[in-house]
Amino acid sequence: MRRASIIGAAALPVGRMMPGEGATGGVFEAERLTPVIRRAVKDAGIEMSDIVSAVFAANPPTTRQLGFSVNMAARLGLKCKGQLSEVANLGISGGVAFDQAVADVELGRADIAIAAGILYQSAIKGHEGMEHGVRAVGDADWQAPFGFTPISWYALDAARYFYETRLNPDDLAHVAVKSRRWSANNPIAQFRDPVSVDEARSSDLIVDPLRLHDIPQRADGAVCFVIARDEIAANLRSDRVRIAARGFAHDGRHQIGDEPHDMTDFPAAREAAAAALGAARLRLQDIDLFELYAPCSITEVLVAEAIGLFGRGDALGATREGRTSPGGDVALNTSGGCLARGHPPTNTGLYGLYELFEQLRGAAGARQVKGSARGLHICELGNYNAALVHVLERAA
Amino acid sequence: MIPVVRIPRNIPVAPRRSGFARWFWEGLEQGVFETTGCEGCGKISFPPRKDCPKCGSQNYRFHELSGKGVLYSRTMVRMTPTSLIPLAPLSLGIVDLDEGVRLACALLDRKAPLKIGERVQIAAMRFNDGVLFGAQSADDTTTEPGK
Repeated sequence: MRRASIIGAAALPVGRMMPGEGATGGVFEAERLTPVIRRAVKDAGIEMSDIVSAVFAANPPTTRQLGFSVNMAARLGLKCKGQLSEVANLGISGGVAFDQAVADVELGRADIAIAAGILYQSAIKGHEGMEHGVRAVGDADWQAPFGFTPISWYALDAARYFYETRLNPDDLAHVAVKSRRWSANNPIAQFRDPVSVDEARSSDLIVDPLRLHDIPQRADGAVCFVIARDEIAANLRSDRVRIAARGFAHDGRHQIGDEPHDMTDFPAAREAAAAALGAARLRLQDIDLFELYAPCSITEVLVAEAIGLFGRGDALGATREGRTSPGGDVALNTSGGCLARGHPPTNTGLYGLYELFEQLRGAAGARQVKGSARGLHICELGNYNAALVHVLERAA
Repeated sequence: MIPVVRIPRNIPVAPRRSGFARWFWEGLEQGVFETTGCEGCGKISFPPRKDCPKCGSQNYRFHELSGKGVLYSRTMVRMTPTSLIPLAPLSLGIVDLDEGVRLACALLDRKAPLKIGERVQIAAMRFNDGVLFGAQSADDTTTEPGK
């Protein structure tokens, strides 16, 4: 199989960009994404005409322009011979777009491919957004009518976790605090101001036991990657980042199954990470950076424990002790993660990969983790029912 | 039979009743909490379904559930979808029934919020124009039995 490397990327700061209903003079999705793709192509040192495959993370149902990938290709002047598509599966949509573009290169369908996405959702009111959300994260007839919102499932994880471990839910505040400590130096983060433990722990309860600082805020975002066959990549860039391996797993459930299971265990994360590490002949200790999709504070705790970064019940204490903060011994969500970098869900997978790319090519500025050679990225859907893992490595 | 609780308002979001599962909702209105079990391997499914997810058998039988179980986890949703704002905050949970079935449902907190690990009883929540199901404390005797 051919190898693939990232040779260029661009991302907009996560934040509020979506024009309100009926707005005139706003910048709509395609107009917003176009310069991001041009910037990534320039960063890669290629021409637009070199792109053979283009894979987009599918837009939400609220997007006016349907056939979005075709519209984008026409706008950019692309005439793809490998593939042109938009792909989706809830929270892993961005990761799937990346995965498909990489696969095209590895399979020899394309020498150069792009993976891109834009999400506009911030002008849709929170309550309205949840009308869609409840139908995505659970059965539309047997669970949605009760009001199980996307983050309510993470809250159910949290309540169970604290029941079993007897740990203190107040300590979740340390996840918010350390996320802001990383994002303070991330120019594309949605929130860069520091937050104190007291502030986080006394913020409003949103979905018990999770508070305002335990959950992500609505945000828009746009990202583009340029991926090339490794031999081509080597000629174009000395600081390319290779895709070492990938892994995927689904636990077979849509949020919960109809038989008891440990909700806080996240087996898909563990299996997908093990598959990727196995394929790359690496151990967890060989990884320098971890970008783990975690919409809520508790999710970061649970996924870090699931993949074996910490023992069961230990991640929260490690966070409190500063081990995952800048200067700590575990570089976990150095972007600031979903709580601080921000969480435009269908693009969050792309943003996590973007952070690894920045770090591995030494472009992460003041939050640079020095000497990093390899990073592991996970994105997920549902309640970590499915996980998609990529291991990236510095090629030079 | 399970208890029936009257909720004197219209149902905010009515589940669709498929041609197959209509009997579930019609039974629930009367306090019958019934799902399907597989004739082949014995697996009990929730929600009710024709085919067995375990062995693929198409032969099912009706299986009445006691509605008795333990609260596995719980939350309070304070930021809800628009249609459920009138009921906010929503007390929701996951219940493991004694028959080995897990389900997600509303929680009927009366004197105090139900606690994880507490014994619970599923009750039919009879709205003016529809029905859902929720868990209440197993000790709760304030509701009328189903009929």
